[in-house]
Amino acid sequence: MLKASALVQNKFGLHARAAVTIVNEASKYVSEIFFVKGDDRINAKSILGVMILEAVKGTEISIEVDGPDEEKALSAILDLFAAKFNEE
Amino acid sequence: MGRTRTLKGLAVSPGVAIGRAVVVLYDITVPDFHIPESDVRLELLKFDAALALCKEQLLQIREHEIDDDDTVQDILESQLLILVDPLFVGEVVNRVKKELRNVEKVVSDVVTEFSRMFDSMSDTYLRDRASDIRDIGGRILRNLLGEDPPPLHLLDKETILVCDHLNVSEVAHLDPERVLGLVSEIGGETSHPAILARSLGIPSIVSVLEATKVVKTGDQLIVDCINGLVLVNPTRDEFASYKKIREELESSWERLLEDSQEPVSTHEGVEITFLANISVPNEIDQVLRFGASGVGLFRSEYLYMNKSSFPSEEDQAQAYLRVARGALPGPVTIRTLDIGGDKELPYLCFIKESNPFLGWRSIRFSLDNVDIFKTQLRALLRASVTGNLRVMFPMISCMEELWRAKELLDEVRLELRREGIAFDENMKVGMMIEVPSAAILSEALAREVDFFSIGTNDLTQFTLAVDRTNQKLSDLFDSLSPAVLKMIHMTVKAAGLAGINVSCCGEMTATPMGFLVLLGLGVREFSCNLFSVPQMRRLGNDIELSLVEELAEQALNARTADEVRGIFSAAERKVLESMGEMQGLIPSLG
Repeated sequence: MLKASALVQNKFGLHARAAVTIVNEASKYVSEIFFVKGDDRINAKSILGVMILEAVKGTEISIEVDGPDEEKALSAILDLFAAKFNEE
Repeated sequence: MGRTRTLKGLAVSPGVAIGRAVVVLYDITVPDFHIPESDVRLELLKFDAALALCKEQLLQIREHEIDDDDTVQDILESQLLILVDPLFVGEVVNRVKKELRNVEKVVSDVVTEFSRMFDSMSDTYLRDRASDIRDIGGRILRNLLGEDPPPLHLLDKETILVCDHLNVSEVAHLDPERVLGLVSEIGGETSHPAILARSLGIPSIVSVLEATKVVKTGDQLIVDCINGLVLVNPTRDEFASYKKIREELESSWERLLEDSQEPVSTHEGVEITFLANISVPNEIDQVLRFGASGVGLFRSEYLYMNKSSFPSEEDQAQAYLRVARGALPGPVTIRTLDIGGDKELPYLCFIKESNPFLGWRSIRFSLDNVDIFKTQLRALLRASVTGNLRVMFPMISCMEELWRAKELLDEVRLELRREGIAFDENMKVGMMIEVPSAAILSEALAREVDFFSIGTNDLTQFTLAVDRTNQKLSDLFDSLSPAVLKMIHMTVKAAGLAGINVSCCGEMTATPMGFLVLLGLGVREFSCNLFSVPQMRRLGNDIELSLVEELAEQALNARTADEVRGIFSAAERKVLESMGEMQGLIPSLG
């Protein structure tokens, strides 16, 4: 199991389009991927879950990955956060 | 190209719309029953099959919509992901297994819960996704029930929505930039969806029987609100001539707006005031531009309707402030919560009443739910710092209700003073006259309020004992009935005796004859839906008041509404003629 933190940097936060990008990426991997924000722990492969997180700009998200391809998965997800979900 | 047909209906808002039909059936009857454990596997297989079918359908739509419009693509993407969302799918599967209920009911429940969750999000972008969820939910349900799938919800430009009925919350979400017209199978002229369509300025025709069966998505439509017609797949000639009519209407509209800042007075120089009825805070931006001097009725219940729980004091205060500021220097009259009857709140379970219009609604609901009422009153008082806010209580039927409401308002004033929160100490407080007992008791009531506002829709309904949403009774619902006129007359007289202001805010104010009758009965302040204000201002200008007053006296002695119409018909003809081709901007009322 791997853990890391990432900051939501884009202007509109994890809104619908960014959420779609994340879920599409996360779904490529076999490993389980969870986002934790405060008391909320959601499955990163769930579009509704990611949107419900309502993670606005500046939110710090804790990422947990567990499974055979966890390294690739985590690095891909972290890249997305850094790239502001290819939005800007 | 499909067959050419012409359908008839009741135009409820003015204009001509030309576009492509999108047919949506809002009524899905969801069966609800227990299933034996042995059937669970089959139910879940049905669910899988329905999801797969949805995916196929969405992929087909995506191929079709190779649009440069990103919004369509975004929605399709989201919906495709919802179909495979472990949270959504998992929840449905678990519930079918645990509750042993049919999958249709479970899907319906889960979709409703998720969409309500989204309804209450603070981010507007996310909040908009609620309709995507409801939309895909509807698609899944239809596939489960073996019914035709609904089209993707309305995003195309130049769309005309054709539906089985107008649902208030759906109409409230419509974007007038994309939805150019509305055609509905049922719905009355004064039903709330119709009122809302009017306030958005969308040409709408209701009571078009079998519309959803005759019209297919993709059909070319012309919605003609001048004549109450829907043309399906019009001929090239019809198309060309309506395009011309539409252009003329648009330029008439522009011309009307040019005069919008001139005061309106009768031939004798008596000033007539026009205000706007609005339901949604955004409408305030247009109010002054259209020539209204302010807002005669802000229907506060719409703040309660687009949400998944009661709006907070802060949310309400912000909305009321926005409206109050936007109308300055003109007045804004806000009506306290008026739900019940045909306006329900999804998050509040109203016990099934056998007579919802006469039931636990409106001010009665407020007086029995002091917390909710006080929250609204606090928000209103806070917003009153702009100095132009007025509050009125709906559906007062007896003195005790008014006293109690005023008592609660005083308590709230005390609270705010103690907390050091500013408000307008001179804020005017009034009431609606819409229940016959209030009209009959108006002399006494007039001494207890700062103003009256006559709600002719409900007054007509209660006086004649006619449910205004019941299509079978639409002939009986007649605001020009002499009984109603006498109620109005009584009220105007009482207001005069007490020296208080009286205005009228029903749909009657936007009809030429209704307007003339009201003017004759002594009303000088009229509040009508926003998109009728410019026409009514033009119509009201330079009217011979003495003539109209004489006609009204005669009308008070008439025996039937038809006799009233007879008395006023010449006067009506005259004012319509003076409008010239702008008459087209006044919807035909059947």
